[in-house]
Amino acid sequence: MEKLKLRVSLNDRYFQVLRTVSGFGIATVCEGALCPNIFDCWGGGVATFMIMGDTCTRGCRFCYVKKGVPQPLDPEEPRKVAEAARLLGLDYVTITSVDRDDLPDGGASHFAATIRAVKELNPGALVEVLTPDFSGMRWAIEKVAYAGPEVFAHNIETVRRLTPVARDRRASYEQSLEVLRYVKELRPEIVTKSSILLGMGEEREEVLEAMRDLRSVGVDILVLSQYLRPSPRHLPLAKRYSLAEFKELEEEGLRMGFSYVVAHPLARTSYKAKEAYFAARKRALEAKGRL
Amino acid sequence: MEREVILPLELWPRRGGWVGKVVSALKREGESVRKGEPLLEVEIEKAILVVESPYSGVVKEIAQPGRPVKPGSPVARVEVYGEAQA
Repeated sequence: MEKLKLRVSLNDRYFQVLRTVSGFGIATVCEGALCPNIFDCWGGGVATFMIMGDTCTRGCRFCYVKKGVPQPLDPEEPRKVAEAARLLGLDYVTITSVDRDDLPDGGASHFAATIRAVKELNPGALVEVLTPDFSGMRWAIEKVAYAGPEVFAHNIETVRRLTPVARDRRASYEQSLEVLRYVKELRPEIVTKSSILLGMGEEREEVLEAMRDLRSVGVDILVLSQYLRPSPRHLPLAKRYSLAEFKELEEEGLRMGFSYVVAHPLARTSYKAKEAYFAARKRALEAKGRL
Repeated sequence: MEREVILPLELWPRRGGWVGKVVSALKREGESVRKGEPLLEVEIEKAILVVESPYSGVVKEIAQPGRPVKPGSPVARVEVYGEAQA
């Protein structure tokens, strides 16, 4: 199957987003990960902020984000993110980060401060975070969860067998499940979310197992997307899934009880996150009504 | 006047290092093109980028398949309508 085609269309809103994030010196995962949706998202005035710098301490083999020794934290960053969100008029703010294994709390306090700053400066705004695993430190996860995000996402990324191949050695399948399980136990009202990138060499049954595992720890929103190798130095692509295969997995996911499943080659955790959140809430309310 | 079309530096603006190659020229030299119309396709590792013309005019020169490119690379020259010769 041929590579996906992306129309490079840079409109005024794209440049407004660029001026805003670069003016504040805030990194975005849209750029850092060479996200194929950047034209669509920035063109619609939306970006996903990547806090704590542009350099990750982990070396996952599927990810294009810079790896190495990161810069010290910018204590002003929470305020800058809040102001950038206000300038862009965002009512649904998606925030992710690089991993910061160099920090004692993995960056949890900085994450919490950013959530609070965004909510303070943007009353009524909803916040979705996509976090690292914080090396499984419960107290760090608590800091983020208690800062009050509406959605807490953490990605399992791939199936159990391929985790040591695709992800950094400090990440683990079980640890990621535990992060998601603990958030749900701590704050059941928070919507939890996780993504699986398909095409790294997994079998169908392994995908279904990962989906069941995510559901068993209470994950509400599942994102299934196509792995796209960012450079020849990254993990080779094993398979391109068809739209029909995505549709079939989406239906499986809904049967398993996820409130919402985003299944598309170009789906990414934060892509159209607001739409996924409201669709998940609607479906959860409808399910309650049927009880 | 003639204008150079470059592969925009604002694509993933603060994350350089990616390279690609032209896989198809969608216009021939001498053919007219409208602003916003697809001009050529560039393959990068992740996808195929369909690059639009930033100008309306006549294509004077266009990069052919196989040409390696990166952000900022010139990919075409367009004689722009409605602009006087310098």
